[in-house]
Amino acid sequence: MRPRPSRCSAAEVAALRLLCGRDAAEVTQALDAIEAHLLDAGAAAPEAMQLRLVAEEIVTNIARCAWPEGDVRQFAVELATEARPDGLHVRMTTVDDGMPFDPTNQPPPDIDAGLDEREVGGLGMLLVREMTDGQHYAREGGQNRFSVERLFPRAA
Amino acid sequence: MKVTTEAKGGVLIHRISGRIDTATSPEAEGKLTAEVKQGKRVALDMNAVAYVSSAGLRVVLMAAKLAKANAGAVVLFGLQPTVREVFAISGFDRVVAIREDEAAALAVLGS
Repeated sequence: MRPRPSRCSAAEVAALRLLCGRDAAEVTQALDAIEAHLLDAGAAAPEAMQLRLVAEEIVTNIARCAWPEGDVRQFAVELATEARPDGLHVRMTTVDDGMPFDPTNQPPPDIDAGLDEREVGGLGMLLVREMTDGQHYAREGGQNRFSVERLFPRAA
Repeated sequence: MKVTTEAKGGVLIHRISGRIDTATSPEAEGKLTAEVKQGKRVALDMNAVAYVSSAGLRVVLMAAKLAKANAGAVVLFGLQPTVREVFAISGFDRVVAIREDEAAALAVLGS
């Protein structure tokens, strides 16, 4: 991973862009950088933790599944935080050139199943959906572009 | 993630601290499923666990399934609010026994 922090010039917008490889150590480094950036931007610890979880589910899925096993690849993770009047707005976008995959169009897991029938597949995206305010996917120029956003409200 | 284990009145308590995520889940799986495979009664102290991702949920689900298959039992207690939310979203709070505190968890395990 080569972190390339680039603080935008606009006073209250901060952005982090990094390239992440597929191995577990690089994924952990990327998640650490995301969490640190969120804390720097004024997120409370539980808020940063929630977004780290969202990032873990998305980034791990790309690292593991976007390309055939063994292919050495990289993908981009962008994080933009903005202090808005109504709170701290966070947008995270991943861009990868792996096989087309629309995370917004996956069957939801059966969360009412009993213990014996419960499976773990699909839980990651369920957590992403429930812990963010919006999700957007596009396949553009041979790339998956997936972004999620979340507003952490602040008292005026 | 760290796990320390103590025996208390016929029950094992795994006191876990840190994160149960993609990076730590293989280790968590080894440490948290070994005794339930043997049919033991196990409580997981989650007070010091700040973070559980879907990889961590998978470990908890495995422990619960192994406990059931081997006539053991597993109960979680002391979940932090953010962790509790993850269990609620995934519906795991309905298939895995979760209690507020250690005393309530040990009561479930008959200790």
